[in-house]
Amino acid sequence: MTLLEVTGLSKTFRKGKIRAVDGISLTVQAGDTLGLVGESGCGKSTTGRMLMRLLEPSAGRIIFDGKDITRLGARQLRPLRRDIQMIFQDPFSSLNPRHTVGEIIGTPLKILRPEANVRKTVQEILERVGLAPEHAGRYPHQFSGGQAQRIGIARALVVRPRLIVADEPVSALDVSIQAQIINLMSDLRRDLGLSYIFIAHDLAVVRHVCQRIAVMYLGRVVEIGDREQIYATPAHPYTSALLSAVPIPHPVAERARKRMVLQGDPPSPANPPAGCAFSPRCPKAASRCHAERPALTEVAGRLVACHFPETA
Amino acid sequence: MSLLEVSGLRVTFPGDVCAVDGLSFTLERGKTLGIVGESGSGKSVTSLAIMGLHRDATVSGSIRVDGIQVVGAPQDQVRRLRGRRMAMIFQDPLSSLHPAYTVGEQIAEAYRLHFGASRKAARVRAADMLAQVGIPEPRRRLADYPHQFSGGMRQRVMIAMALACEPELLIADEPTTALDVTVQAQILELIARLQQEIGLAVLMITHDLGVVARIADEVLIMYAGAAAEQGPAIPVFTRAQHPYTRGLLNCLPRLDGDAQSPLIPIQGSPPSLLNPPAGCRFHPRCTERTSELPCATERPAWRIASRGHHAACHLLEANR
Amino acid sequence: MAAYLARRLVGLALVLLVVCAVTFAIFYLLPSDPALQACGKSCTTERIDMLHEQMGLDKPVWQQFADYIGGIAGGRTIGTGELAVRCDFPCLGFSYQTNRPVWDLLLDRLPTTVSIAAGAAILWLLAGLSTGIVSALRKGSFLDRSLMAATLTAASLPVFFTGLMALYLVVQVAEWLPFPSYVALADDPAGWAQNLILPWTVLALLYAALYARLSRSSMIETLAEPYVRTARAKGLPERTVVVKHGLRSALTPIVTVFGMDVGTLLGGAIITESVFGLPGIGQLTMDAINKSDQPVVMGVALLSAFFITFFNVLVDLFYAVIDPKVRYA
Repeated sequence: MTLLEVTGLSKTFRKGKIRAVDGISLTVQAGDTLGLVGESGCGKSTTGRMLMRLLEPSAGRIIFDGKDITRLGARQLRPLRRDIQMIFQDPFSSLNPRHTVGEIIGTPLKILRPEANVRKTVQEILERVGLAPEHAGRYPHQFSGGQAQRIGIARALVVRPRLIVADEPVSALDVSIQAQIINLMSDLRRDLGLSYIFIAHDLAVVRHVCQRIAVMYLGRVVEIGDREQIYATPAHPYTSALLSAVPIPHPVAERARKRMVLQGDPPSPANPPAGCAFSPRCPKAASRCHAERPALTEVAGRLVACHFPETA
Repeated sequence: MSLLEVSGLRVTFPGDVCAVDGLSFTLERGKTLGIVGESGSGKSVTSLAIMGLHRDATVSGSIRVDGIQVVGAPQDQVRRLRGRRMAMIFQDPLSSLHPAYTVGEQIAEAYRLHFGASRKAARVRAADMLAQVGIPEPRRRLADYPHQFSGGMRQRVMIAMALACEPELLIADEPTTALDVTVQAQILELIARLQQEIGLAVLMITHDLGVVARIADEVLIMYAGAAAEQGPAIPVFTRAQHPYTRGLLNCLPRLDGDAQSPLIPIQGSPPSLLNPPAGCRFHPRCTERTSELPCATERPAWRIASRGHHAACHLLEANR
Repeated sequence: MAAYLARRLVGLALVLLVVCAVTFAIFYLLPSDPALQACGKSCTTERIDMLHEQMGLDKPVWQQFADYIGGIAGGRTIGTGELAVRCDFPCLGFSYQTNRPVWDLLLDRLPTTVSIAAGAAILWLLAGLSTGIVSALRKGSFLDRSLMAATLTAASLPVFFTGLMALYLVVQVAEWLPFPSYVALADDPAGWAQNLILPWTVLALLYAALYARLSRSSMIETLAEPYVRTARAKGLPERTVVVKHGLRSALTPIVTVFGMDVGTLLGGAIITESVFGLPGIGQLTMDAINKSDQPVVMGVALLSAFFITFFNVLVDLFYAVIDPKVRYA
């Protein structure tokens, strides 16, 4: 069943001068985990915020569970907030320091699921995310980063959403804590039948969490497909370069790798290159790439936007 | 004589917070030592102590740079080492560069100071340095301000500034953490290249084991202000002796690992430095501790696992 | 940079125009009739009517405003026929009290006020900045805490109190200085300074205390910036680190406040001038308000507004000099 369908979604800033997201299309099936990966400025967070309707899309359509939610007003969005929830990068700045954990988790519950027994439900969800029921009376600053992120997850899950948009949920955490949160999110997905849109820059983390991956570059999806396809046989040169840039924590394997170091920086959305946005940095770029923007087309089972895709 | 010799380093902040407690290591000329640790491990505190940049903290023990003692030395003497024999780059290049001076001025400044060079000579040197770190049109860009550069280019500027006086030691504190992966790869490649060209020793402070695996000759794993394990990169990664090192390596999602099976996390969180656990600081989170060993009561001594490869763990003593 | 300057100057002119309009509107809306004020005690109805015509008060209000603005821009003739009086550029009207052009009155008083403000400003800037910097560098020390306690005390003493105390102790008891009176700088520089030293000190004491606190917190903030750590890592001497890398950024908020303060003071240091009996703009203002001398009050209001906006433009230009991001924006 298709849970979320996005077509031609765009977001422009400064009266259209900056195209942060430029016509992206995605689908998320129920139970799916879709990873949105890319470097800073690629539009992955903007996309996440539009899906949450925290940002107004400039163009395109968002259909959730068969219903067009692109232009819903504040009041009509209420039921949607029950279905789609968000987990943020910085657990501390996204939790109100003056509210107890019980209030933080209980407030959305009271608003969105008034029928629930607040006390009992809060305690259940706290235990579910690996905290103790008595933590409900404490304040966010009394917790470590990992625990605070568990609170953020509990706050999102307490209204029993169907889709979670997680924006860099582990990148602010210590290495030894990241694995705890990744495992927790995987367990919750399996047990509660959730779907995730997992926004991250760390490709190794995304590989562990997501079954489907969309690689973004300068506001567009350049490659989208199943995990195995993307990681084992990347078709877009940018995907290859990204994967090649992630170091493997093993000195022998790491030093034996053939590396592809891209030149230059990711371009600015204020001043996008002509043709394929990746062409100025692409080792395979030909004259056609500088002139004509490639469309997403199917290559070896996944969609790629490249004139000269890798076909291994 | 090693270029950098640290022994028994202790750094205490007001309020009795002991951020580094008895750390010893050495770094040879032209080599790279990767110091790995999580937040609060004391890795950055250590790097600032080597540079003599702590102002509120009490530093004791010994830090020798090419034989010259830094701990307790007169400020002026340490100052003459800084920027000249040892230099440092930081995590966030934008806030680490002065917003109101041109990059040319900022690079030339240290060169003029340490070499007594004229403005003109320092300018030429600054342009050379920009060229060396791969910034196009170096002469023109001397007059630009930091905000006119991209993140990766700013870190290149920082490197140019650090290396302008031909130091023997470069301390890099999370130099790629704020950068995109593709830019991180460029910066790591640049540091490796410069190291080859000028025989620089690099102290790479990072939380990223992947970065260390890529560039370090030696690795030092820190936990809660103390060393857990140290040794040449290959044995530390392939035959890790300390349960914390093993835990870190196991909990890391990796591109070449099994994506299906769950990760094996380290339970709990790093301890508070205000009130660190007694005995081995890792013991509350350690899955391998046993009641036969004094893990909870005694701090483990430094044990040799193999040539040059040490770990501070009671298990090592027991298995001998 | 030239375009930036031009934009700012146009902005300055617009602000002054708005200030003119507002002050004009306030005075127009006041119930008291300017003609009645100007007429004096032995006033007859005919005389009032005549004065109305003379002063242009019979014209529609927008016409009066246009005349007023036109007078400021290029001078004008007030009144008609034989009674017409030429009011030269920049015409702010005539004082009801003395019948002298307001502009001349202002010019008479300006040197005193500028002397007081400029001398005090230099004093408080030097004292405030150095105290603040020393405190910031020794943050938390006994010296820092003593200095901050002293500045808190100084900041809470009102000028009329410190001024009278200074007069009593220095002039009356110790007889180190004569009672201040204004001597023109051009006539006798030493006498000028000797007469002004007390008002300078008294005024500067208050401001220096505030500036010390401001520069201390600004300096502490800047010294914690990563780029200051970079400067130290380069091996620069502490002096260079503090002055070149720290102070430069720490100055920004201080200059902002300084511009405003100097601009405000040039509109008249009312209390200081009163305490020391110095004939500056402040005294002129007090007189004019007491005697409902509207043209003078309006002139002073415009002059103050001019100084404040002008110094604001200066501050903005200063930003452009110290902050390259402003320059290139």
